[in-house]
This record gives sequence, C-alpha cells and structure tokens, in this order.
Amino acid sequence: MKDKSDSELVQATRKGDENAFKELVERYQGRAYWVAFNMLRNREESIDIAQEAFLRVYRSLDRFDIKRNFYTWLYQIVTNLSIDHLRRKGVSKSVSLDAVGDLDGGHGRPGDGIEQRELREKVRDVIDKLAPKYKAVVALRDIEGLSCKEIARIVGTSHATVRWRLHRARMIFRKLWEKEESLKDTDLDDGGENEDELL
Amino acid sequence: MNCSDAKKLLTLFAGGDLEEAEFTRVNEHVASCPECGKLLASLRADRELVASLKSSGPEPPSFGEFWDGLSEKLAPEARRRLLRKYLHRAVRAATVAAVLLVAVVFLFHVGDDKKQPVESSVEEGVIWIESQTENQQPGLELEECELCVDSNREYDF
Repeated sequence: MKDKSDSELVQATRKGDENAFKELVERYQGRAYWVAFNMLRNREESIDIAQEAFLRVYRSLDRFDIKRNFYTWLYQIVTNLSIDHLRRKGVSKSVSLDAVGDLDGGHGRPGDGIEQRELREKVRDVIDKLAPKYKAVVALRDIEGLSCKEIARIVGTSHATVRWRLHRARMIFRKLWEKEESLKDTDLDDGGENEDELL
Repeated sequence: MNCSDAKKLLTLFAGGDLEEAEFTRVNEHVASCPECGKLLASLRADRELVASLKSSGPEPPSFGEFWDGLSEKLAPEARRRLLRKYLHRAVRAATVAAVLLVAVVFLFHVGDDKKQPVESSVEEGVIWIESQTENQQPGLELEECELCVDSNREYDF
C-alpha cells in the first residue's frame, strides 16, 4: 500500500478499499493539520478542520478528477474550511504573550529557547492580524513553501491575484512588525528610565 | 526602474516570486539604490521569521489518535456509502428485471398479433356453430337417447 501513488489509492478507495483511504489519511494528516494550524493557531480546532477535510474528501471521492493532485485538492478544502472558520469567529483574535506557553503546549522544536518561542508567538500574533485571504497565502507560501501557481489552484483564483495578495500581506506584515519593534524599543527605553528612577 | 516601481515588486523579489525578466530589473535597481536595498533586507528578514513557523507549535496528534477521531465521523458516512452501493445494485437489478419483463411481454404480444382478437374469435365460433347446425342434414341428426324419448312419452294414469 505504501508504494502506491495517490491516484491509485483514490481509485482503490472508490472501489471500497478502506485501507487505501487509511493510507491517504496517514500520508497527509500531518500536512493538513499544519496548514490549518498556521491559520487557526489552535490545536483542537486544527484537528477538527483536518478531520472535516478528510471527511469531505471521502464524500466527494467519486467526483474527484484523478488527473489533479490529491494534496492540492486536500489543501484547498483545508484552506477553505479554515477561512470559513476564521470568518465565523470574527476574523482575528489577538493572543497575549501570557498565553504563549499554553498555545505552544510546550511542544516547540527541540533545542528551542524561550526567546525563540516567544519570538515565533509574536510573529504569529502579527499574522493573526491579517485578513483571512492574506493569512491563507502567507501560510501556504511563506510557511508551507508552496508555489504561487499551486496556491492559485488551492484558493481558486488567478496567479496574478495570488501575487497581489502576497505583496499586500508582506507589506502589511512589514508595517505591523515595524510597529511591534518600535513598541519593544519604547518599552525598553521606558524600562531603562524606570530602572534609572529606581536606582 | 524607479523606486516607486521597485517597491511594488520588492515583496515578491524577497520571496523569490518574480519572473526572470522582472527579477533582473529589480536586482539592477536594488544594486544601485541603498533605500530599496534596506527595505529588501527587512523584507527578507520578515520572510525568515515567518518561515521559522513551519512545523512549530503543538504537535499534531498521532495517526492512531487522528484516525480514531476521523473513524467516528466516517462511520455514518461509510454506512451511507455502503447503503448507496447496495441501493445502486438493487436499482440496477430491478432495471434489468423490468427490461426482461417488458421483453417477455412484448414477445408474447407479438405472437398474439397473428391470432384474431378474442371478440372476433368468439363471433367466428358462433357463426361456425350456426353454419354447422344450418347445414345439418336431416339424416345426420343425432339419435335421441332413451331418456329423452322417455321424457317425451305420454303416460296414461
């Protein structure tokens, strides 16, 4: 089963082979989870979205065009479900640094220091402020490393629109990050003054 | 290319998302413009920050955990799929049976066409009987049975 291509597994599932579908899930559950997590930033919600995406895949398997990439289709479903979820929740939620420990769940990369983890949470805070359509292209291009053409197929738009959204998203990120940095500098300056006063 | 044009493409340049021709033009401009060069460095740093998020965060569930959750959601769907499959087969079988039935009825009907309709057959039968009785010769009359003869006999009491 492991050596079979995605399309072979899809065809086998259509014929009622449950193990073929299980293999597809095993192959892509991690990626589906991370795509959802990069947009939702919540483990349980991301698992739910990934499972819902596989459920929809299972339901629509008979209509799937075997010439298409399976993972592009899966990413498309995960991304759309995540965008819908964000819209239902009222777009972005701001997460304080106090919650970083809980969000990261103590599962950062091995060898990560607290500073690195805090820095990544700050980056996520800034990305959270982006509108869902910008967040989607940033997650798929800058985090997952997909090409603009693949993203165009996933989000169902043109290559030019993806490039435009990427440009806008990166510019907004730049401005927000600059603001974040200047706030940090101000905090440090204030901290210094206060320390001076204390001394 | 001036700074205004370059700034529209720098974000894509930083991410390696430009076509070759655009890339060359922006590259030439950045090499000679310190301001755009500075912005490009910031954009590249941003991109590295964002890229560092890949696979960072709470670990995804194990496959077993994920599959168990998915199986629960899949169970009714799998049942429906199975039901649809059997229903599809049943409909196919019923269609074949219906076609066969129609074919059999059709064949019998074609055979019946050679015969006369029932009503005309009855009429013909009546005409035939009448003609037989009309044409009956006196000598060919059936002999009366004894009982009939007896029943016609007159008795003196």
